[in-house]
Amino acid sequence: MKNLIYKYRIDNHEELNKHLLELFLGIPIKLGSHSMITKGDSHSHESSSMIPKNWSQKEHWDIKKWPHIEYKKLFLDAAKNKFKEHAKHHLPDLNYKFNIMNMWYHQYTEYEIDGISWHNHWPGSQWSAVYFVEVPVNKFTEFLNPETQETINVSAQDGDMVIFPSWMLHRAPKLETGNKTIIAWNMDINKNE
Amino acid sequence: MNNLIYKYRIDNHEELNKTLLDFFDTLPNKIGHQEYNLGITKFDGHNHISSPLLPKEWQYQDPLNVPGEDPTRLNITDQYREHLELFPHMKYKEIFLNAAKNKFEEHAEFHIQPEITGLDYAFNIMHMWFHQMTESDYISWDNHQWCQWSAVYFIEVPDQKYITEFLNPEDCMVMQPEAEAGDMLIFPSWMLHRAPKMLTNQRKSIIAWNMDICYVFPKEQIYILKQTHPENWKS
Repeated sequence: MKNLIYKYRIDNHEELNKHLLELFLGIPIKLGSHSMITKGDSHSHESSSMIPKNWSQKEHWDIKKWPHIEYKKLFLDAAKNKFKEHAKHHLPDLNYKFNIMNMWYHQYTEYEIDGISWHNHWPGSQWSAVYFVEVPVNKFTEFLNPETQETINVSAQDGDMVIFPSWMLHRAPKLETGNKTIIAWNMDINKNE
Repeated sequence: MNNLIYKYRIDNHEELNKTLLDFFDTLPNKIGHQEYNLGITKFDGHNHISSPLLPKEWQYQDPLNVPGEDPTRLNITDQYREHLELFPHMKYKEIFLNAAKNKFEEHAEFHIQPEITGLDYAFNIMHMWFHQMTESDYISWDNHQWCQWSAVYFIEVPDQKYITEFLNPEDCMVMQPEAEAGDMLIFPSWMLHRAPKMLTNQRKSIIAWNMDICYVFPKEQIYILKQTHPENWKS
């Protein structure tokens, strides 16, 4: 089961993360609703399905209406080679295309949340993923291995991207100290005829 | 990787398969249009208008995205039953799902682990279709979009060599699980798979579908959320 959780380290992540955090500073506290986060644009928000061209089947990118979505382009441009690495691993010798259905960011502050409880991602995607912009030392995401009924702790640090099957249950433990900022998304990697 | 292809044997599959095959015999060869990359003799295409129509109890809408909605109240209409008179061929879906329900539940409970997570679950089947393949028919490498899981149920298969093949990305080796008529295979939708070319005049018949197994917060958990975060439940 462990080999279904893929971790990639993004090049030049220090510079990328600095840009992202500056950009997030200028965004209102919450866009959309979400039960358990301090700050973010929820995946239920209208802008969540707005994804840069060539990354989505939808032509839905309206940055004039929602300027905060600039962070998506910034991140995807920086992480593109790692997305390709993941796609080539799963569709060897085939042409492929990405379809990101939605993308959102969350910022958590210590003591303010109880953590995010067990969940998987739906409706309708092959893969889910998270990019860690800033994360306290020794912080990890927990996945449930149904084979053994044990949790798999995946440690991550600033600059790591973790991709996993959307059906896999996972949770974020309570933040005991420091701040945590992530970008998350759901996607398909399809054969391109 | 092998443990990502889950095999379930359907109870009373002999009776089920006879009913399904008798029913398919009453249908025309083509319901919908075949896509260019498929080589199949008889089918209802997954691009046909009836393909996303499934009995209401097998389709699920997120009540958490509807402020004030209760997760036990499904507010989607029963498009399947409303259109059954127009597309009577869809009846095979209901016949199969009723027979296989306990195996679907086994798969869902394995992945949701309600006793550990405290979660309930619901199925959301996006599309379902059938294929009947004869000599020279095949489907090349393919994966499925907009879903967590894909699956195939074998109604009749002339030989083991015509069972679906999968590509293991870890070693680029082709895997072919042992299976026969009455078996259901469920696998991750991202996994490449293909139907080997039929080199016999005997027939292969399958039902295939795409689905999510949606986690559902129990009512008690929703009640607590409404108390702690009432602003998220305002219209």
